Amino acid sequence: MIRNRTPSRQTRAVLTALLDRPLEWRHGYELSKLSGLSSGTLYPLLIRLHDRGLLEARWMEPERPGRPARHAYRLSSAGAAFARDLAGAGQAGAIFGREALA
Amino acid sequence: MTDVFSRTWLADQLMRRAARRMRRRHPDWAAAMVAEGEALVSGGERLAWAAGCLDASYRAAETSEAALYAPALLVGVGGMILYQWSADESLVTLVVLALICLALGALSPRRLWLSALPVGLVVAAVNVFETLTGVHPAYETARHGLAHNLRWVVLVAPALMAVAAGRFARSRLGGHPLSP
Repeated sequence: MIRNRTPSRQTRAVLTALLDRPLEWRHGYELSKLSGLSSGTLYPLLIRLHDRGLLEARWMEPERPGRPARHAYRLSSAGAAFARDLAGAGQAGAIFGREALA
Repeated sequence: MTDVFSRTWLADQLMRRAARRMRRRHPDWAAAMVAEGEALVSGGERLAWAAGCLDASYRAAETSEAALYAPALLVGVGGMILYQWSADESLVTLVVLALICLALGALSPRRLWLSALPVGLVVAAVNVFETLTGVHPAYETARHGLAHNLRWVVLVAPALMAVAAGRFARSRLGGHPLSP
């Protein structure tokens, strides 16, 4: 049986941070600062959002030579729609299954 | 200066461990964590980031394990109950118990007692049930008292040993959360 679950406060924080400028790619550290979450909380959430098709991820070339390439994230179209619904109604979590956004 | 170097060194050690754990299930995300940590210049920020990534690597592993563990435990306890109800060969009981606990220990090394207690108590519980209710399997001819049946709680000891052995086996194979 599938149990519905409302996204957690932490998930909402990440979605809100990403929704602020939905077309921009953001690094993990920046998201951590925007959402107030540690990397220990942030990465499991990003992985789940990505697995659910709500998040796009890509490697970005370094801005300066000699710096490492970094992983960057933004909401997919489905993710943006979900985040907007969530921000608007606060009910969108009901569409998720039990292993969704804890 | 030494302080900065030691923080960076510690951060690198933590990140290496986190990446090794995360790589097993999420190789791309392991690389992402490492890259993000390397992009941070401040030793303190890098250390905090690495510590969080180590936490994330454990959470990711636990999430995957948790989905399998509960059904596995139910199957294990159910198997023990079925066997205990259908036969009464002490040695075979011990082997079945050991195999189930070995598998549970390998599946979830952190749940030593949670795996060993329910499986180890099945024999005592089934015998106590028979005594209290009078319902017993066909092969059971002799009746025993409650105290006699309760002595089977001693099977928790081999159950614990088998779970520990499963945990050890997994650590040798490189999947143990507590492994270096």
